[in-house]
Amino acid sequence: MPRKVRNTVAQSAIVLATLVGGVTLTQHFSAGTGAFASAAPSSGTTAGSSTAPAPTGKPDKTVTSANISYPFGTVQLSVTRTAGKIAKIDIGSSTATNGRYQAFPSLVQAAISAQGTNFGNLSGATYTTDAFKQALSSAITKLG
Amino acid sequence: MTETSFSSEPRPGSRFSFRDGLFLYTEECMGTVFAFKGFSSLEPALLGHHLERAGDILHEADRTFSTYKPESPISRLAAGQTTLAECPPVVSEIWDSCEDWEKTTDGWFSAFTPQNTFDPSGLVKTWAAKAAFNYLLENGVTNITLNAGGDILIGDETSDEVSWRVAIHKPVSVASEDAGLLTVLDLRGTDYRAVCTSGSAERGSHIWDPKAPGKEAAGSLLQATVVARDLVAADVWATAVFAMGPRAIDELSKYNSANPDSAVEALIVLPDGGLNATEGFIGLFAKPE
Repeated sequence: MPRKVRNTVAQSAIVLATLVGGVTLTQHFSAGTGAFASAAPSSGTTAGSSTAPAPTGKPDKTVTSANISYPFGTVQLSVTRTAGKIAKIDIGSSTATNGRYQAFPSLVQAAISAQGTNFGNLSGATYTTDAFKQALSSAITKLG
Repeated sequence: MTETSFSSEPRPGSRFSFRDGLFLYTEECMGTVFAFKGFSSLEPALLGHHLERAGDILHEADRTFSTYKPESPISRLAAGQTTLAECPPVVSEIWDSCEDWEKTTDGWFSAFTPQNTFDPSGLVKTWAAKAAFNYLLENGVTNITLNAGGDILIGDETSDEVSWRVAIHKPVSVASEDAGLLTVLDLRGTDYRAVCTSGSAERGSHIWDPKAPGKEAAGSLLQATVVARDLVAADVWATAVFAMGPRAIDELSKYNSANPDSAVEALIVLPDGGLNATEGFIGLFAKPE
């Protein structure tokens, strides 16, 4: 995994913000048809960015975070504020809606955090004998 | 490590190493490589014999079920040259198992082709791997893990921590320049013993590039990994999940709720490189050291 990308994720510090009032949050991929495109959390759930907008009392506004780059894609967080202000900022791993969908940032972060761990076996799509022999010289793969 | 063989006529695709109690046995079969490794205090000759016998079980299954061998019972069955009743009993056993799995996965796993032939290739490798593994368990080789061409099985008596950790490869070929890890799981302390990954990384020239999303048709996945108590269950569900596409997580969550004793966990890689997973999966990631 490119070290540059890993640092980007570590520094982006995904912050989950609790919003009050009629705020609609949309969390979606910048492109593609990922499952989360259809799992937009309803108001009352949380999303945010490390540069959450300060409450200013301004009228309704849509604030879009910078593209947050993950190794697995990009996520753009849009916050449409119709009323109220940011009441609390949480860093956590709360699920998005009904417990069946993992909050995207925490799932990816957990996956990334585990990457450097030593392991005994490697699971992948079934490889051919030739691919096995080629891969043996790589320090990353432990196929045998 | 010492390269040692304990058969008068070793198979060309077999390698056995045994030193300081740590063994590694690799067997080429079914177009891939099965790697058994672990610890044993058995005499080398006896250990070697058991491992070769495990290899025999794999080759016997290949002789029966290989669709690449026109003389195999499964090929002859598909060609209409024989009947199920005339085939070895194990063919009927696999047939019944495939029917059960087709029901369990609501048809997303099926061994019955559009041409109405029976092709159980989707579970024969893991079925044979499990049989070989069980033979070893029954013969005193219990501190052991198996990598069956990318499908992983861990023995209950596995003693070293690192052997409970299973990495998942990126959705690219292990032989490619982009080879590398998606993540690492730790199954120690769980009931799970098997990890299977389904994907098209090893077939064709698919290149995984998160900056160029949408290369895959909508509804398809780059990869699916399933963690289960049983190797065949992990394999079948990985195939089913991969076929289902992004909705698989929702469907699997419903299955798990209704069938808690055979629940499985899944991680999918979406066409644009994103991830989704069943609820329990997040607890399986290895803790950073």
